[in-house]
Amino acid sequence: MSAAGLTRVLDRPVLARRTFLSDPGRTAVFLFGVEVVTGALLALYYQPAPEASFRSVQLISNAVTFGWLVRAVHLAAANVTVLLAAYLVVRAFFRRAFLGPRGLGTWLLTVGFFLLMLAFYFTGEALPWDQDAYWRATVTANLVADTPLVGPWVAGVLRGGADMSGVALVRLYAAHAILMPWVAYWTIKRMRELMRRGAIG
Amino acid sequence: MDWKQLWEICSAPDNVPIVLLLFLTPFYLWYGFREAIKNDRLITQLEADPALAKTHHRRHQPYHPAWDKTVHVWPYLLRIELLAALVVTAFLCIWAIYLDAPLEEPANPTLTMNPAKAPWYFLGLQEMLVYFDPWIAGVILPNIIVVGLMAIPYMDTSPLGNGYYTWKQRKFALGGFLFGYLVLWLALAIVGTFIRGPGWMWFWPGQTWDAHRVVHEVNIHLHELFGITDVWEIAIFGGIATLGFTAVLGGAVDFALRKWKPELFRKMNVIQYAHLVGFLIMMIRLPVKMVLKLGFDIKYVWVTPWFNV
Ligand code: HEM
Repeated sequence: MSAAGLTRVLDRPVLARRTFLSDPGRTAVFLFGVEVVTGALLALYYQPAPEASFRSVQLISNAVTFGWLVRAVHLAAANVTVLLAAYLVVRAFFRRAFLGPRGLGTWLLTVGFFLLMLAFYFTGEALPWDQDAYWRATVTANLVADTPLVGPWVAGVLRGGADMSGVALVRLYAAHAILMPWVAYWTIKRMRELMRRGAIG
Repeated sequence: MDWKQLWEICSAPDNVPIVLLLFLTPFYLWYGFREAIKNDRLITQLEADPALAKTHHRRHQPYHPAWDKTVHVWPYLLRIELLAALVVTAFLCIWAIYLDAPLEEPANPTLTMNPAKAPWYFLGLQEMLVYFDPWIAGVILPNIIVVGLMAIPYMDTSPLGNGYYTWKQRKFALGGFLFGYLVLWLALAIVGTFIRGPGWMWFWPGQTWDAHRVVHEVNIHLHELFGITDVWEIAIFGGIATLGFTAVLGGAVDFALRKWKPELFRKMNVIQYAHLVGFLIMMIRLPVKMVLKLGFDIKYVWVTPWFNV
């Protein structure tokens, strides 16, 4: 960014009440940033393969300096992000933020952000591949497989075969650390565009 | 009262958000309704006095003269944002230090385990597993919820209440939303956290969670009460019972809407109205099914070779 551009950004007038804590949407984006940073740190050690995965998380928790803290912050921030994302939906409904020319897009993005954070949490929880994670993934996949028509096929894609396999873990990881961050990036970007044009308060 | 157990439930990392919600929800409801009542009073006043309404904007918001002041991004906004970022980070670290991330035994495909509880926000759906086929509770219901949420702006198009809190002008919309949020989501998550013990058994508050308690689940299906045994007769009977109930419920919802919300009925087109009634039926059916199961041990109403409802 050129010096003039930087000056323009820094000197841009903003409403004095547009502060961090009066704007939970910003807080949610900040928390998402915390997730990206801690997630990237975890990814330095994490290995997405059935037995290696558990060992790598164990390593993060027990051996890596401050690894336990990074992991615990990743989990804590994940919880707070989901809470905030839910709050944003409730608030948008109460304020009827879905009206107006850009309201519809705002509403769909707000709901989308909430769903995306649920998906992040759900895929993330499977990554340590401990007993709980493994059986939760199995039960979920079985339940999908029970669905008439498309169920068996979708479950096959999720599991990477007829049984729960290492492929499933890689797919969960790919979704968690590549696909969904990308979708989240575009969601937030679009939100900010709408917000800049004054659709969201 | 088993205080130790209560503490263990409340302080489990997975449950902390629910405990937070127990405090945050009443606070924000109180706040929202306080603002709404303030605005409603103003609206009544303006409606009674058209002269005043000409000069007073109806979009009353809690307003402070200082709020319109604009400041520069640097240093004002960046300073505040940095401070807030530090506060949030400190909060996260404290949370993380007190509630370390759990790790269990490594995955063992040969040792079947009943997975413990779903994350707190899915507990409502997990509770639905008790009342519906797994794929209905786990695939169909979530999809209906998602579509229903996204469809709200298409059904709720009245311009009143845009950008300000009001109860008076949006009783129906807010009531419906709060029913979904408080009863179908929060209350079920609370049941899942505090009432459902090991093996998803029902424990009253204060009861100690005994994993070895033996429960004799009595599950009857509605057709058994009528002594129907043939597979096809069962399916037809269940179909009539389920669809008949749905039709009666739909008729009742339709009647109530026309009676109490005539302006809503007039403004909506057929597609909007059909979806509104459809989603309302769904929302009412869940508690009805829960009462049937919890109160009368009736597990399924409609049993067919392919699905049970
Ligand atoms: C670019 C973004 C992200 C990356 C690269 C990333 C990466 C990772 C990695 C490598 C793990 C495995 C380590 C472990 O299990 O502790 C993990 C776990 C997890 N992630 Fe993420 N993550 C990202 C964003 C998110 C977001 C936005 C959320 C939540 C809303 C989230 C929620 C979780 C959860 C709940 C776990 C499980 C924590 C545990 O119990 O160990 N992640 N993530």
